[in-house]
Amino acid sequence: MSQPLERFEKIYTEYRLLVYNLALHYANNIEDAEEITQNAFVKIYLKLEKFEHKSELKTWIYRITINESLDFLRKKKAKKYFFNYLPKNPDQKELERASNFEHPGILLERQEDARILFEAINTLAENQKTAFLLSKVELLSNPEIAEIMQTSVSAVESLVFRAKSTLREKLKEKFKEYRKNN
Amino acid sequence: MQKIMEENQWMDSIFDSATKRQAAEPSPLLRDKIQAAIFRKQHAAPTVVWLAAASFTALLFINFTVLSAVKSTDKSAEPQPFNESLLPNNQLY
Repeated sequence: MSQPLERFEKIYTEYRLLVYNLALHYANNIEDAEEITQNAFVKIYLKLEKFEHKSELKTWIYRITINESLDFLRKKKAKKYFFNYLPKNPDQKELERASNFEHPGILLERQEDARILFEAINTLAENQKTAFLLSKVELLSNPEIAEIMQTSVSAVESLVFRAKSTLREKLKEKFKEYRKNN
Repeated sequence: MQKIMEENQWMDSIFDSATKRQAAEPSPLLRDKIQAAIFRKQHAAPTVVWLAAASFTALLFINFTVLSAVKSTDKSAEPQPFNESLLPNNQLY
């Protein structure tokens, strides 16, 4: 095995769970998460030689995965918009949303709650979404998130705060539905 | 008051759903797919080559179309050869 490939194999073994689970948080289904993971590792392999160690390897891999996830979601949204320009009825939309959510990392009994949460997360602006996912789902510290997002700690705190406020507002509507059904 | 407490408890439960999780494992086939994708990337022609090939093909096609059009125009512009059979009968009555 060549040296770059050997090094890459080591990185894949060490970071595959990190990349895949982060991709799952963005994509919310296995198929898309695997595609994002594939794209991320291809990029990691191709750029590995040029990695200048200005940050830690883990930070760099987080950044690549986040960028690949956001790129993937943007392209998916554009494709969806193009093919689904005809308005759908609300039931059909609900069915699509429900059937698409699949996060194998989340406990089975919490899947429904997680689906509600991730649906709300998906409506956030990209930087708020990233800050929230890294803080409340990946449970990283604010300095770690600031390093990954290449911003300040105070900016991260602000993003997480705004994300949580926005999510609480959106979840209030969901709570009304929950109360009606229970 | 109770409704607000209930709402907050429900929301906290929703927020907790994502933190209480285990690391999901990707499919074992993913490693092979990644290696195949890396191989394709390394051996694919660069974009410039594809663009050059496409431009050259387009130019050939345009050239062929224009030449064909010019040739057919030239044929119609050429004077028709003199054909005696087209002349009225010059026989004296």
